[in-house]
Amino acid sequence: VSESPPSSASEAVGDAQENSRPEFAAVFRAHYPYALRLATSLTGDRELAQDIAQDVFLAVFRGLGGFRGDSQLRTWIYQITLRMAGRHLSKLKKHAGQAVELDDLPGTVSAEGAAALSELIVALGRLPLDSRTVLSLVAIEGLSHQAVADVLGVPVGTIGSRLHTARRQLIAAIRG
Amino acid sequence: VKSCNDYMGLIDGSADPREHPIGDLADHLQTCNTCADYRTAATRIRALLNEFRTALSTPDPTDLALKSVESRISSSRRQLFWSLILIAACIAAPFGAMVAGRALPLGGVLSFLSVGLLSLALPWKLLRKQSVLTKLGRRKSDFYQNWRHELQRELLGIIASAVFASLFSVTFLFLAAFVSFPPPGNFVVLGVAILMGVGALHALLVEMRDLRNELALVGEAGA
Repeated sequence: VSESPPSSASEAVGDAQENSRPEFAAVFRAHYPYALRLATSLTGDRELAQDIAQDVFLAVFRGLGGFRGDSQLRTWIYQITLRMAGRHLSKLKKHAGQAVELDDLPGTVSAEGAAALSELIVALGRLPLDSRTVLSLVAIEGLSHQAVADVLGVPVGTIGSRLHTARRQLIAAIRG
Repeated sequence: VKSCNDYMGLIDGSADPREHPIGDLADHLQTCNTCADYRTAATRIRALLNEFRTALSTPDPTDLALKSVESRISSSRRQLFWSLILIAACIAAPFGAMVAGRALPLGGVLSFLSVGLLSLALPWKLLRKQSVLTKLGRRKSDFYQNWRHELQRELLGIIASAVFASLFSVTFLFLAAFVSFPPPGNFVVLGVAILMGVGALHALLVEMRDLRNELALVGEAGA
């Protein structure tokens, strides 16, 4: 059965969007939570992270056709999130290290833990981007060294030393 | 002989214990205050990072976010659609006038050309950005190094666009000032000159600043 061609450019746009929506929605539901979590841990700002995660999925929507394997897609989404977060962070550079609103975090934080957590987020914000990234991917996302190496395009052996540097920098930042 | 750095690597789990047997770590901690302090701090950091992970692990309502993204996709498609229509109109108008035997004055042709070029900026930027992001997933080379190279290329592109727009702007200002077009031709040409000038200033003052900030952020990352 041949399909009749769309009668106008706007219909073609609409048809393309309708056709890609179910696949995109499934990808979105599966991958949005960790993209948002990574963006939050990199920026320390939930609202900004939501904007970043939305930018990420605009790019995912446009480039989804080229990805079939789930692990490849996940690596790609992490990479786009890092790029988008970097772009947003560079625009807000003067805000790095400022106190954050823990009320914006989705999970509950105990009253006594709130101050320490706030201190951690501020300290994370003072770290160089690559240290913040490797800590977020390993300690927050729980990725293996191999998975982080895939995201960053480096030999797996370098992840341990980067992680060590990042932890030392974080300890120094917390000690002030 | 192991250094404190080796012991610290074992403490924070970044070193492979098979390469650095930890049998004597306890002995070392009893004699080295630096490493003992490091272990205390590393334990606290680990607990804080775990607490942060727990705080981030409750998912947001994804349906609401999905609707928002879909709305932005539609809006982006509409913008792209109208940009393409404007480009087509700017190309078709001078030809249409020529076919109808009413040749447009030079100022009119150049104005259509300039508006067409400005309209091209949106789809061009969108396609370029998407191409860069799509290629990310297929590259196996250093993520930060690629990022830096792309930012440097983008900077060059911005400089070239700003120079190009400035030249257009100056040419149009010259035409508006010294060439007499049938009314309201000189105002149209002047408007295009201002538009191009604002575009050039935006590229130089805003886009270049943002790219330089991003380049500074990526800096020596991964080096």
